Amino acid sequence: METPTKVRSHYDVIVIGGGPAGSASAMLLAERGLSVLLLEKDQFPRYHVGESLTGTAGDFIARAGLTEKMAELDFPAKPGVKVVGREGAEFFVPVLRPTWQVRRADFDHLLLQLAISKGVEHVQGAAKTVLTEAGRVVGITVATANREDGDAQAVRAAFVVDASGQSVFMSRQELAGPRRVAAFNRQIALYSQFSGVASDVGETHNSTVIFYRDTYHWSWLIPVSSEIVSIGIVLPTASYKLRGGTSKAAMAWGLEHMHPELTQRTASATQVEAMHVSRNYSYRVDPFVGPGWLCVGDSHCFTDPIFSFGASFALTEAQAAADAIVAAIANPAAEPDLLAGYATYCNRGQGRAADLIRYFWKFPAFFAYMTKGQHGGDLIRLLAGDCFTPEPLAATIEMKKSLEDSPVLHRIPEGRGRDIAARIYERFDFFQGVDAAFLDLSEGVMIYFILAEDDIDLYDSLRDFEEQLVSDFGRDTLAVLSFTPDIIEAMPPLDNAYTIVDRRRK
Amino acid sequence: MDATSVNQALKGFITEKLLHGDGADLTDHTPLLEWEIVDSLAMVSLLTFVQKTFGVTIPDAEVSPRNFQSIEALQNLIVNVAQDRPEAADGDTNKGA
Repeated sequence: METPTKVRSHYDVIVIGGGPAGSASAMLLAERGLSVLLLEKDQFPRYHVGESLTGTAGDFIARAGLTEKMAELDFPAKPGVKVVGREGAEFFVPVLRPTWQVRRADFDHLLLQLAISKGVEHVQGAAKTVLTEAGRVVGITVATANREDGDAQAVRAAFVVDASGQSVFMSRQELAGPRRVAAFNRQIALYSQFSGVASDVGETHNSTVIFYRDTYHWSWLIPVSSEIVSIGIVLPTASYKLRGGTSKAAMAWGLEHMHPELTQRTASATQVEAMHVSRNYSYRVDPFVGPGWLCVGDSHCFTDPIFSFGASFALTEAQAAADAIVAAIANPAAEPDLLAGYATYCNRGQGRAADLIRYFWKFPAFFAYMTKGQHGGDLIRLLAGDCFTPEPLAATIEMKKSLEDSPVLHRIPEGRGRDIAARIYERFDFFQGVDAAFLDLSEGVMIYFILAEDDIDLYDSLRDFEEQLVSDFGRDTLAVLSFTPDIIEAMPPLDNAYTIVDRRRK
Repeated sequence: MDATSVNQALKGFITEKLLHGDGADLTDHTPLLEWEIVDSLAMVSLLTFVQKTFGVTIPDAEVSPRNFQSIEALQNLIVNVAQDRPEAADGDTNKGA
C-alpha cells in the first residue's frame, strides 16, 4: 500500500485515471498553473496493452523532454509499420517523425511520474460517484486505498476529466452517453509478451509488423525492448470458437497459421507475460462532454487497434482537452462552445482513423496500391496520427468516396429509405455473424437480417444498431427483423426487397 | 476503343474466370466488390487481363474501389485511360463511354 495521501477537499481539476490520457491531461493542466488531483486505482507500474506509438506521440515525448529516457528504458525506436498479407502482398509505411515501441507498464509509469514532478497530486484510489449541482458536475466522491472503511470522500473541482479508459466512468454514471459498440465487430484479441523472437533485419528492424489473413484475422508483432516482443492474435468470435475456444489454443493456432513469417520468427519463442484477452472491444460513447466535465481517450472511443492509434490519440486529445479546460476556467461563459469544439476535434480525428481502418479491411488490396500511388504520402501522415487536421487529406476524401459510393445504394430510390440503407451499408463490412441484409420499402422501411448463428452477442449488437437507427431516423414505420437459419421459412418473401449484402451467394 | 466491346470482354472474363461460367445475373451494375465477385486475387488477374486484351495499363492511382465497383465503372475507366494514352490503345480512340 502507498503512504497515505491526504486528499484535499477542492482542486481546480480532478483527473480520473493515470494512463497516458490522464497523466498527459494532468501534467498539461498543472503546467498552466492549475491544481490537479489525479486518481489512479492501480499501483503503477502495471501491464497494459497498446505498445506501439505513432509520430504524433513521438512529438509529445520530444516536447515533454523524455527522449533520453526512452533510450534509457530500452524502448526500441520505431522505423515504421510493415503490413504483410497473403500471397506475398506486403508494404512498409515509414514513420514520419521519430517515435517508439514501449512497454506500457514502464511508459505509463514514466508519464505519471512526470505529471507528479509538474505538481500534480497523485492518489491511488477510485472515483465512485459524481457530484452535480444544477446539472453541472462539481466534483466526485473518492475511495482511496487508505480508506478501506468504504466511506467515499467528497472532493470538489471546477472541472472533472474522465480518463478512466475502458472503465468508461462517465458513461457508467449516465452523464456521458451509453457505451455503444462502434460496429458489428465481434472480435477477440489474445496477447502476451515473448522472448526469443527472431528480429527483422534491414530498414524494417524493430518495426511493428501486422500480419493479416482473412478479414478480421490479424496479428501484431511489436518489439518492446531489445529482448521482448509483444504478440497479439485477433480473431472474429466465430473463428475463435472454431479454434477450440480457449486463449491458449487460439494463440497457438494464430502463431502457426496467421502467416509463415510469424510462424518462423516465433519458432523458438518463450511466453514471458500472462495471457491477456479482450472481447468485442470497439465502442463509442456520445455525448462525451458536458457542463464541468469531458472524456479523453478510451473513456469515450476505442477503435480496432490495428494501426496503434490508441495511446497516441490519447495524448493528442489530452492537449486539446487541456486547452479547452484552461480557457473554460478563465471564461466560464465560453465553456459550452469550447467543449463543443473539443468534441468536434476528437470526432474528426477518431472518424478519420475509423475510415482508414474500414478502408483497409474492406479493400486491403486497394489499400496496398494506395501506398504506392499519389496518396502514399497522405497514408504515411495518417498512420503517423495526423488525423486531426482541420481539413481532411486527399487520401481520406478518396477513401470516403469508395466507402460511401456503392452500386448497392444507387438502385434504391433517394430519400429516407436510401439514407437508412446507406447507414446499413456503412456498417455491413463489420457485419460479422450476418449472412445477408435486405431492405423492403413497400410498406415503410423493413430491414431483414439473416444471421449466421443464434448468438446472444449478435442480438445485442442488432438491438444496439436498431436503437441508433431509431434515434437518427425516427421510429416511424421502421422495423428491424432478424432470422436465424432454423426459422428462415418464417421470413416473408423478399421479391421487392433490395439486397444490401448477401454472403450466401458464394 | 469501343465501349461495347470493352463491356463484352469484361463480362466474358468475369463470367468465365470469376463466376465459373454462371453469369446469368451479371449486369453492368452488379456490385462486384460487395458481393465478393472481385477479391484481391481476382483484382490482380483483372488488371493483367485488361493489360493483355486492351493494351491498357491502369495507373496505380486509378486502382480504386470506385473504379472496380461494377462493370460500368471498369468499362469507363478502361476507355478513359485508353483515351488519355492513345498510343497504348488498339483502335478507334474517339468513342467515349
